[in-house]
Formats: sequence, structure tokens, C-alpha cells
Amino acid sequence: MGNLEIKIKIRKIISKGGFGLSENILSSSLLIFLVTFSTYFISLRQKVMFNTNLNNAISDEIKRDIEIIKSELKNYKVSKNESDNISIIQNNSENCNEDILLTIRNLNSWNPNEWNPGSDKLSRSGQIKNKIFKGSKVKIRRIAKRGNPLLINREESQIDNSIVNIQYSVKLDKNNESWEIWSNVVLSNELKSYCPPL
Amino acid sequence: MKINFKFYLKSRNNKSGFVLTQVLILAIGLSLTITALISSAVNRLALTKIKKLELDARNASDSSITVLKSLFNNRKNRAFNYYWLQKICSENLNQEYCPIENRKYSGEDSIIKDMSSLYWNNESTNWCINSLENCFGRQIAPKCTAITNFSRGAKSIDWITFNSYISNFLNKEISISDHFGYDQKNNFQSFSLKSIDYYGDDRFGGTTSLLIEGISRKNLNSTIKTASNKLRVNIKVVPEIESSGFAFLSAGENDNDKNSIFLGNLEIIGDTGSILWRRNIKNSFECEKLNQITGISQLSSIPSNGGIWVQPIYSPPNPYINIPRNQIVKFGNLYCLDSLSNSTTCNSNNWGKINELERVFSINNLLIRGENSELNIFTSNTSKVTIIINGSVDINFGGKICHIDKRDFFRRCGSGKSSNLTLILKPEEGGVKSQQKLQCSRKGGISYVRNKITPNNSFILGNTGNDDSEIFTSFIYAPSSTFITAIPNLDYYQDSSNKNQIFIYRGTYSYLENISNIVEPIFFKDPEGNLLNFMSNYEDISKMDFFSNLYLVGVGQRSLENQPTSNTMLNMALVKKNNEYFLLGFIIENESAKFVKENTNGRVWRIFLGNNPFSVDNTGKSWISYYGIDLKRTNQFHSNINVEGALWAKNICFDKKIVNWEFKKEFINNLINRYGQEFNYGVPYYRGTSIEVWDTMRDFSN
Repeated sequence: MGNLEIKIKIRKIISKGGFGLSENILSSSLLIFLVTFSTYFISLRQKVMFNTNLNNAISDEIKRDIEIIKSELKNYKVSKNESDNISIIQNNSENCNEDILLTIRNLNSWNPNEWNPGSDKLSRSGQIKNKIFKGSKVKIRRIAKRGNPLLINREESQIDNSIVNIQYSVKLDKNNESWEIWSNVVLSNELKSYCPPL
Repeated sequence: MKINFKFYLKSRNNKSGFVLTQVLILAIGLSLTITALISSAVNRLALTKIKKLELDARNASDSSITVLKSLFNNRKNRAFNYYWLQKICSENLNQEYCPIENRKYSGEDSIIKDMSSLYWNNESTNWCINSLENCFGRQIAPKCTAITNFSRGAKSIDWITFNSYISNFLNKEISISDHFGYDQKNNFQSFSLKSIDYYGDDRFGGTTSLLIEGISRKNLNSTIKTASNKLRVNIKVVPEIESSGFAFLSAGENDNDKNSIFLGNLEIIGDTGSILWRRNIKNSFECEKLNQITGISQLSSIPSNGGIWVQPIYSPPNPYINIPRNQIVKFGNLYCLDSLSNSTTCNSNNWGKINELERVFSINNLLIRGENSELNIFTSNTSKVTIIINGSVDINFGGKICHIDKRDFFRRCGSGKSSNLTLILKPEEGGVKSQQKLQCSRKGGISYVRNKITPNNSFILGNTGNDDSEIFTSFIYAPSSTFITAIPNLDYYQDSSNKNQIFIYRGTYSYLENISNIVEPIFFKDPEGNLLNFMSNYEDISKMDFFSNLYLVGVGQRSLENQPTSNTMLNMALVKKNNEYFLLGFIIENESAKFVKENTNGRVWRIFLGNNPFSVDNTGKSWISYYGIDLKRTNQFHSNINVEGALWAKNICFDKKIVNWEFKKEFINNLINRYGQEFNYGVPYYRGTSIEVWDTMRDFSN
């Protein structure tokens, strides 16, 4: 078979719309494009999933912390009378007139007020409650301020101001400088529900 | 070469040559679409932040409960406590979620009602019974502050300002982010109150149901809610009574009792406890006048923990309800008129059942009068006494109730614990005229009403001992009776050994023909048939006729043979009128002792004795001696009244006489131990305590 014959055969193949050079280049480009973007989206998805899980874990950590403080605030002035199988709320004058800010700062669960979840298995604040904290990069901080949301920029001597505002802030990377405000919550002492008027 | 060129042209002209452009454009379009879709899918806000936003909204709604509980449980001003009992609905809330207010209201229409113009429906049948005015019920909250030792006066409670705090909750979102300043700009949490509902009453408390929305926004200025937590919370509300609010004195039975207290020169011993006047105050300007209306002296002592409260709280609990009827030992009348009776009939050691824990006796009327006359009641923690009195009590002119603790070696009057002796004046029912005839005078004692109507029973306590060390210790429950310490300023009283006696029965003068315990008192009446009021003084009383302003001093009978120089009537009473004495004749008619105003059956109806009750007739014998009336001086008796315990009555009418009333904390505990927690009766404060329902799944349209 001569050269011309071979060329004609190749032409015939090309002329039938088969896998030509352009198609080859195009399909390769598309494949690369798809693979690249798939990889990108998979990694993006993974990052988003990680952030979601991290957000959820931080929210859970904060929620847990609020519940612990609430529970301790409720129970710290309750004594047990085991002989009568009853609990007694110690609503004496001294307890009822406690400074709420001092009270909350003296709770066992308040300290430390800044912690690094997953940093130390042996401490309550550092123990891993969620595997996502394994890298122990996250830091959570809470700040308490006394104040009634009803009385912002206002003095009212007739309203009891024994309310504490707690602000939770988070550093997603403990090496970062800035804190991201996560959530606020207002707490007060449950004991006050059992205290007589002043 | 020629063949190749032809072949090329042929392939160029082939239709499939267009595929390249088409595929390219489609591929780019498809890629962009898929990229956008995938990107938006993986970066969805909901995936990354949903839990944080949920947390924000939930923290906001949780915080609202803290803020509301703190405000309604406010300790600095108990007026806020009454908002637990409110029913409020936001204008933004769908009406189907709004509570239904079925309590009566007399104030101006508004979203947040004036608590002092809102009325309880329960017990309103008793409260509004025979009401002369338009009676809505009992005010839920007071109009006035208490009179305390510090304030020495009452003021109107500023409900308008307090309502403004609550309207803040309803009308706008309350931010919980503002306390931390401007750095909160990217995290804004707030809450708003949608409705408050209350199920319950003031005696046992109830449940307050709050509908709340916690809101999260991206920032302060954003109008879009990024998350919302709608919450229904039911909180248990309990009325609590602190020892400072315990009502050692409680007056007022129903809406007509506008003059049911006069405190005069009351001296309260003890630093804790309250005086409760169950009365609606319609206008807040009355608050400033409460000192004057209650009649309390500016020099009177008021406990530093407690005060005088004018507030129609629920009616006092009744100790009679818990007494087994077969346990009651019935006597007739108990007349303790001489020292002999002290050791016989008027001595609880002779009444039997000595060793029983609860001894209950029922009598008709109790009269203790005269020097050394006393009713001795011995009690201990293991032998408590209850005396049910179906009629009236008159303790006067040296007579006293001597309550002695069985273990007290010296048998001192007042050594018995007040919680171990209960006197119950049985509640009476009747028309408005009978119920309301006895009222306190603004000058002390009871006010003057002269008519034929028989009033409710009375309890006259004119003497408690020979000096301040002798104290009357008791718990007195007299829900429809009038308690009076006022007695007229007389120089003489009738010797209690005399056969005939005067008895203050139902706040009026009555006659005892003899002192047998089966003899019932009969009313003295004027010739027109009007009953004669027992008054401490007749100042400012317009004198309509001779019988308008009489003090009855003694009463007696003479036999036909025992006739003075003038043929006077057989039954005569010694009366004092404008500092002059008279003997006035009366006849026994229709179970009453009716004075006459003219000579009757040929006998003289009236003898003028001048300013000397011992005036004599022509034979030199005193007129009163013909009638067996012996007089004794009144100045030998100790004038102060000394009491320890509690008194819950319809009317409490003291006078200018000093009344030392001891408010003992120990009494409260002992009374509760004896009768139960409900006897911790007084001015309540309301506390929202435990959370009964926490429904975060609640949805409502707004």
C-alpha cells in the first residue's frame, strides 16, 4: 500500500467525524476542567463540612457551658436534709443579697473563663467533647457584665439589677488576635425566686 | 495533491464540523451552571451557621425568661410581683393566641390594665354580698403603699410607670446585646413578649404562661430575622407570706366595710408583723388620707418590718372548719362576775377533758365584769383550748381573761401561749343592715347609729389586767363581729355582785335579769323601740331626744314593799347624761327592756339625781339602794390594754386608750404548727418559681 492510499484512509476516518484532534484536545480540556473543579469542590465541601462541624461543636460547647452555669446557679444554695429527704433553699438575707456578679464568678464552673477545648484531657474545660477539637486550635472566652437589658443607659432604683449578661467569644485559631463574638445570654440567680421583698 | 485538496474541502463542507463550537459553548455554559450550583450548595449559610443562629435565638428567648422572672420577682418594689397575675396580649399577635380576660375591670381601657383596677372574681359572692355600691370584687393589687414606720404614711403606687416597663416588652424588641457596646454590631440578639396569661387565684397561686420570641439578626440595623425561637413557658406562681406581712390584726369582711378600722393609740411591741385592712381603695388620692382614715396616732409605733396595708386580699382561714363537731362541749352563757366564779364555772380546769390535746368549748355569751372577776384558762402545748362564742363578749371594769400556762409556777395572767388559746366568734349571716350596723367611728369606738336593727355580735375588751405585766394572750377569729376596746369615761360601775346587770351585747346595752347561765341578755330600747348604742363618747352627736346620749351605769329592781318616798317604777336603770345622773324606768316587753317616757301604772318614770348618783330621798336613803344597785369607782383599774396574739375581725375599733399589742414572731410559727400553713395569713408577695412547661416547638403567627 502506497503512502497516498494510507493518507486517503486516514482522511476517510477523519471525514467520518471520528475522534479528531480538536475533539481530543477539547475532551482532554473538559476532563481536566471537571477533575480540577471536582477536586476543588470536594475540598471546598470538606472545608465547609469541617467549619459546620466546628461551628456546631462550638455552639454545643457554649450551650453546655450555659447549662452548667445555670444548673450551678440553681443549686449552689440548696442544701440537702437527708433525714427528711428534702432539699432546702437557703434564702436567708445574706444569700438573697449576694452580688450576682461575684456569685457567678465564684461558681466552680466559671473558672477558667477562657478555655481551649481539647487541650487537656484531664481538665473539665480542656477535655475533648467533640473530635473536631482534636487540633485544639479553638479558644472560647466568656465575659460577664452586670446589667438589666431593660435598663440600658437608665438608672432605676426600684428595679432589682441582679442580672448578669454573658458574652461568649471564640477564636477559631488560638494564634489569631481577634475574637469573634459568638453569642450572648442573660442569667440570674434562681435563688432570687425564693427571696422575700427587701 | 489535487485529490488531497478535494478531500479537505469535502470534509470542511461536512455538517459535523459545527460540533466543535456547539460543544465548546455548551460545555462552558454547563460548567458555569454546575459550578454555581455546587458552590451555592456547599456554601449554604444554613449548613455552616444554622446551629449558631439557633443558639443565638434560643439564648435570646432563654434570656427573656430570666429578665421577666427577675422583673416580676423584683424585690425592691413588690408592685412588680402583681404582673405575674396579669393577662396581656401584644397587638401583633394573632388574637387566637391571646388570653381571655374575664375578670372585671374599672380602669381605662388599655393593652396593659391597671392592676389596682382589676378585680378577683373568686370569693366575690362573699365580698360583694349586700354591696351598696357597684361592686366588682376584690382589687387584685393595692392602690396605695403600706404605712410603715419609716414612711409614716401611704402613697399611691405609680402603676402607670410600672406598666410602661411591661409595654416595652410588648411593643419593641429588647436587646440583650447592648451591654457589650459597639463590638456587637455583627451579632444582634433580642426578644419580645407576645402574651402573658394567668390561671389561678391569690390564695393558692397558679400558673403564668408566657409566649415569647427570641430573635437573632445579622446586625442592629437589619430588619431580617436570621433566626427565631418561639417559646411557650409556664411558670408556677406562689403567694408567699413573710413574717413581716403576717396579719396580726386583720379587719374588713366585705366591700361595705369602709370604716372597719380605728387604730387610735395603738402601740405595737415587736419589730415584725403587719396590720391588714381588707378594703378596696377606689381613688389614689385616698392614699394620702389613709393615716387619718385608720385613725392611727402619729406617735404610735409601727413595726420596722411590716406596716399597715390597705388591700382586700382573700378572707382569713377559718379554724372552726377543722374542729370535729362531736368534740365540742357546750355550755350556756358564761358570766364571770365575782371571785367565787373564778375557781368554779370560770375556770377551764373544771370544764373536763383536761388531758386532751385540743379542748373545744361552746358558749353563748361571755361577760366578765368587776374587780377580781376573771376567766381562768389553763393551756399548754399539749392541752390547747378553743372557745366558740355564739354571741357577744363583754370584758370590762376589772374583769379579765387570765390565760395561764399550766407549767407556770406563778400562774401569771398572760403566761399562756397565745397560739394555745383560740376564741372563735361564730360567723353570722344577715342582711346588709344587720351586717353593717356596727362600724368604727372616726373618733374611736363604734359609730352612732340609733335604730331598731339588731347588729352583729361584738367583743368588748375594756380590761386585760391590773398592770402591764398582765397580758391577754389569744388568737381571736371573729370574721363578722366587731372588736372594741373603747369604754365610756364613767366614774362608777355597777358592782358585779348585784343581781341585775348590764351587758354590752351586739354593741348595744342589754339587760341581764339575773346571772344564771341560762339567762339570755335582752336589749334595752328607747320608748320608740330603738336599740341603745354602746358609745365611748357622744361628742358631736346631735341630741334628738332624751334617750339620744345615755350611758347606762347600773340596773336594778325593787319590790312593791321597798318603796321610796316617791312611787317610782319597779325596774329602773341608772343612767348618766351630760354629767348628770337619772334613774329611768323601763318595762319588760317582747323580750326587751323598754324605757318609758312617762309615768306608767301610776309610777314615776324618771328620778333626777343631779351629779351625784348616791342622791337620797326624803328618808335619807339613796335612790339606787332601793333597786339593789351598788356602785364602785372605776379609777382603780389599769387603763392600758395589753394583748399578745392575733385578731382577725370584721371591725377593729380601738379608741384613744393605749393598746399595747405584741407582735410575736413565735406566735406565727406556733399558729401554723397548730392549724396548718394556710394560717400563715397576711399580705402576700408573688413569686414565679419553677418552670412547669418549656415548649420551644411552639409556633404562632404574628
